[in-house]
Amino acid sequence: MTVSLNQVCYAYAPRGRPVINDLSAVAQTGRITGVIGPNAAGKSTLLRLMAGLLAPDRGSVLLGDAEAHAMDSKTRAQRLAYVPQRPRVDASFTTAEVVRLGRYAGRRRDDAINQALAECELEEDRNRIFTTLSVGEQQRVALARALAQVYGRDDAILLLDEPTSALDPRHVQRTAEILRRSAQQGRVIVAALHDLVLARRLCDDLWVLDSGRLVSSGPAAQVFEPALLLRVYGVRFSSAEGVLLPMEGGTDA
Amino acid sequence: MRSRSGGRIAALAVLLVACMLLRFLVGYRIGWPMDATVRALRLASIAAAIGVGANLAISGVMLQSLLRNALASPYILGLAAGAALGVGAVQLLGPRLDAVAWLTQPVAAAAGSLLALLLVYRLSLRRGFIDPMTMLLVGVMISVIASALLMLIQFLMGPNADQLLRWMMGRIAPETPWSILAVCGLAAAAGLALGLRWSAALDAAALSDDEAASVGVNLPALRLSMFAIAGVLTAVAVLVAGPIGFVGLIAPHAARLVIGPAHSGLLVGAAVLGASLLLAADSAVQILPHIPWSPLQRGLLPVGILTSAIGGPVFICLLRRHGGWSS
Repeated sequence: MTVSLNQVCYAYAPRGRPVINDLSAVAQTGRITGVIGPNAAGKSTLLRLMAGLLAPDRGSVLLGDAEAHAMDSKTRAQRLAYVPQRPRVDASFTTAEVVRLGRYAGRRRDDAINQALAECELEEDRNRIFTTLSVGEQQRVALARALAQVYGRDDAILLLDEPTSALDPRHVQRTAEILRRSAQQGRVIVAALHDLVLARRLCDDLWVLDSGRLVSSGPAAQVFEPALLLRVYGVRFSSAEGVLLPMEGGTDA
Repeated sequence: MRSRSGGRIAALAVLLVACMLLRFLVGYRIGWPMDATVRALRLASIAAAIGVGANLAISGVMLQSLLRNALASPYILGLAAGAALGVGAVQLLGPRLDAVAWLTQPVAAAAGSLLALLLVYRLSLRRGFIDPMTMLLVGVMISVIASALLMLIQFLMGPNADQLLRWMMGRIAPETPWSILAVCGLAAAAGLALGLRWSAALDAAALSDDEAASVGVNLPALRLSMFAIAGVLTAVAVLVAGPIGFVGLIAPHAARLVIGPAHSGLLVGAAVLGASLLLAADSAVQILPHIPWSPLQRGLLPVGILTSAIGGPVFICLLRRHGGWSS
């Protein structure tokens, strides 16, 4: 199942500034697509549109051949899981109970919950109260909840908004492995990322957003052009040894 | 986990039975009532307290989940103030206008609370959906406006406002007709059944709005349903006993501490605790005049005063401890 965006426009207020502007792209099955761009480029809004949480003002977002926002909420949840940048739980649920909430739309399966906890290395934390966890641990719980949600579905779609922003290097590596394995199973993975090093190493395809417009897309090697990054981020990058680092004094003020 | 919460609910049920027994044994005289009429009146009081307490507690659980705020209670929607305004309007205008003279006090209370419910609902809509924060603020404002109008009515009624003032204090009346008690009991049972049917959605709604929607919860439908059920349950409770404060706030909190946050157990636990709490308060009201130094020899203290006197400090403690959501 692919996710297709066709000339999508979206603004939060009627006649307001478009946050997503005439964007067309396709996220392919079995590939990891990274969405990169500076702050306020529209990355999170794009993911929410893809998740069917927002309805586009113009254009369409299709999951396979169905309009994402018009789908029955349970049917959509069985095909697609979304992980926000800042997961939140307004109750004293434990880690395992939060992961179980991912099974709301499907059958209650303990094996789905146990496997998701194991994959995210949360087995020892399963009885800890979610709100007492660190931000990084909460991000891992949100990922486990999403994995439990699409358990057993190799054609599922995983949308992740900055899934590694609060993780230590070991768990960044672990998350990357999980996403790679999910893609190999045939899932569609789309992740908004600020870490360009991770984006280059992890993603098969990249979408570069700037002010709501898709300014470049394609394989990582093709997209990581110093001129494009300078134009989008206003910073000069060095790509020595495959690692992208902003160059000293490289701000393009 | 399920068996553990089952055991705790059973323990709460034992507490409820103990409170029922206590209320049956206390009244004008303390002890087993020999007179059949007295027994019938005490049974009616027990039924009223159970129905009202359960209605308020179930309503409180739903509103706290709906509004994402542990300090929310049924009266946050302005329903009690609306009901009091309805009763006040009828008492003020009844003797002067034939058009409202036929309205009885319970009908006026129900009409006032349902009018407040509709107003809060209409004003809370944003882009066609209920916005929790807007609803909280609108509810508070409706309460303030209704309270101001009520004060005006009291001013205009002068010395005749005594009956209205007494009604506003909340009372479990033993002379409540069994037909009204049946409506109250049925409302509590239906509210509990509907809450349990939606319990998994209420659990998932503890996630952020985006996450809840992404796991499959139809949030607009859930919020509208919970709002309507909570509003009707509160209106029925006000109809039976007048405005009784804090049961709908305290019972969900206590149940959350005993049972945990999962709504399948929480709703049942809160209903049992709400009923027990009101039975205990009504029993205390019966016992107080028997204390030798009590100033309440000549009449019973309205139970609403007792629940507010206890609930107010508990509310402040919760506010200082949590400031918002709590376990």
